[in-house]
Amino acid sequence: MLALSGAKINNRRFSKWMGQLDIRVKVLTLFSLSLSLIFLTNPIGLIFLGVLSTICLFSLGKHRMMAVIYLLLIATWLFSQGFTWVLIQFIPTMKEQTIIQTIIPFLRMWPLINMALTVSLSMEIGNALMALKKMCLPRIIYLPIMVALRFIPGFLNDVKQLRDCLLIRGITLNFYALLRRPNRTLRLLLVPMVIRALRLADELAIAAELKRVGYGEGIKTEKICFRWSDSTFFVAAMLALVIAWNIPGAKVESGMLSSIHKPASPQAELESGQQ
Amino acid sequence: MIHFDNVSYNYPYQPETALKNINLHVKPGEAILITGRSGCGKSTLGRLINGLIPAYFAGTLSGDTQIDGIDGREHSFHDLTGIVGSLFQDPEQQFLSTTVNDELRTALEWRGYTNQQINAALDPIVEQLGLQPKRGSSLFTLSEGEKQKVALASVLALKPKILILDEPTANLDTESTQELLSILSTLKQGGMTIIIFDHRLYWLQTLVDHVYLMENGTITETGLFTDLEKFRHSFGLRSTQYSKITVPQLIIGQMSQSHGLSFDALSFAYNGESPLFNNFSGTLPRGKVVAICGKNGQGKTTLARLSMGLEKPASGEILLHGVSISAQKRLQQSSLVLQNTELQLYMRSVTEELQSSAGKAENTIDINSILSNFRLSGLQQRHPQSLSGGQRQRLVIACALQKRPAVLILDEPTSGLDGHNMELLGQRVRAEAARGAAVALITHDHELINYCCDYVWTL
Repeated sequence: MLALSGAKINNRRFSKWMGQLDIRVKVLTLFSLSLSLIFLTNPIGLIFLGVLSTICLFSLGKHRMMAVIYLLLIATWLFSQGFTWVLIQFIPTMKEQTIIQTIIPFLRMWPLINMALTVSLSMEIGNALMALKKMCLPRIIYLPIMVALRFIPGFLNDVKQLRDCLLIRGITLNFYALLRRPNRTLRLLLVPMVIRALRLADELAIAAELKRVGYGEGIKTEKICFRWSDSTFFVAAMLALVIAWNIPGAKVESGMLSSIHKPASPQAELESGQQ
Repeated sequence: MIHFDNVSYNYPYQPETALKNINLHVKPGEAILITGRSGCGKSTLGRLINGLIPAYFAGTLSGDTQIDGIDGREHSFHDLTGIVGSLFQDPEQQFLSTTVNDELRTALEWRGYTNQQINAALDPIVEQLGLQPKRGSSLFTLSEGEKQKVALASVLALKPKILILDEPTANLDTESTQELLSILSTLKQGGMTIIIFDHRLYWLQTLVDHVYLMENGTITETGLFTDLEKFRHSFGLRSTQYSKITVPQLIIGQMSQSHGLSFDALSFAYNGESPLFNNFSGTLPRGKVVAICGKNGQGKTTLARLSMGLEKPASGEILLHGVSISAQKRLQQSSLVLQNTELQLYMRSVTEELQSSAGKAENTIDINSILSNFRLSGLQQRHPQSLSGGQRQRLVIACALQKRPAVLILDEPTSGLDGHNMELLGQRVRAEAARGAAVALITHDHELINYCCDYVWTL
């Protein structure tokens, strides 16, 4: 049971408004945001986008899930800090790597994760299918995407249920357990989820076959017009991107390579020449 | 309408034949029931009728099949989807959308209908099933009965001549079951052929014309509904009569708080939602089996989660044998069996699964007797996830009992179980209560309630 059961509906007004936005607007916003994040290097601009996208995700009311995802993001950053420290012992030039430089990739992930979750959790699949069809994407692309998005809430619910079932059995999964008995811990997590995913896939495939999805004449698209709320959201989103690009602030190169390949200072060059 | 002569079928890579020499002849407008023990081949026969075999499930099929006057080999699967409509046990399995309106439209949209044609096809069905007020709703907010109606409406919109229902009442309460019966009776009067695969029989007395009993992949008996009583024991059937609940209601304050699991002035609400429990009190008595009943959304499963310590109450106390203990300790002393068995089995074999539940002290002899008690003998080395649904359910319950819990809660334990397995379950929970556990069953199953419960607690 229960692909749907975990995904409780949120009837709050703003959340409904998010849900009623045209999927094309949301996907296009997500796409524009992704492109911007590749090139944007101003941390203030990234934080600005992060805050705005957090507001969008927050409005859906999935606060606990947000907290878990943010904790994971912070844990990953701390890991990266740890590994950077190890690397510094072997590559001394990396000492010049600042905290801001190591945080930039995570600042890029932050708005992206927020927006991807907002799109998937506030979507109505029927409208989304129609809209994606209208975007002239090949059926082979849009159908798997939409099915995957449809099952994200169910999958998250299964993960939650699995955690509860393990707790009932007296099994606590944490980082210590993963280090101490990695095989067992991974089996406890993976076996039920893989089996569940396979069954879910089977059920879904059968339901789709019986509904003749992907066969026959296919969907006859009706004209789907943008509403004022769609246009307002899209204009606001693009405006936010423009502001993020133009916020004054230093451009920070991120990543290890930027410091490894950094041109040496004139004094260092002189010293190496003397040698 | 349906003519199967000497039809046999083997799933790929399976040594045993799933269906053997099936002979089934169903006239147009007839309603039939196909029943038998869990694993007797009912679902496979259903897949053969709706064309999933051989279109989706490969394997070896032999014999003559004819549906709606056309030879099975000449039907394409997608022709068949227009003739045969299928309704699954769990309607969520067949939902591809998230709102009622989307779900109703999906199949029609993929058949290339225009908006006008879709509305023309849907409007009368929506009205007939009383779904108009729910048309804009999210599927997440519907009760089980409403979900069933939405799934049925989306099937009926395709105007099938044959309707297959696979255990349609497994998750329904009595009221929703009666409503489904009334809808099916109307469809039958309209000339639709109806094929029902179900363990629960009592609700079908006025609907079905013929019954077919299956055993080991073959139809061994046919007859009228009234003939079922004489086959009840040999085929492990459920009761053919409607059972009114005969056990007494649990009265708040009737039970002593010092013996059992007690809720004292409990309040709880999910994040941002209206309270499910407000100053709620009551006791699940030690040594008794209590059926927790109530409509969907009344908080039955939430009460179980609170009991286990999986949810934290906003206020109030939960006491075990009169003592307030931490949620963690409560979790250690309790067992909860949820419906989703796949997520409750983790080990590489049935033996390992039981050992991990019981602790290392458990020896092989005990495991053998446990397996025998739950009719799982011979499956010691099988991977738990490879068992059938009924076997997995029994194994999960067996694992829960190995903890020797002070509190045992089972959520809809008889969904999809035949009569023999229902009785087995009843005996096991009675034994647990006799040992001293406080046992609660979240169920709509009147037959189970009358068979093994001491009290009914309606939320």
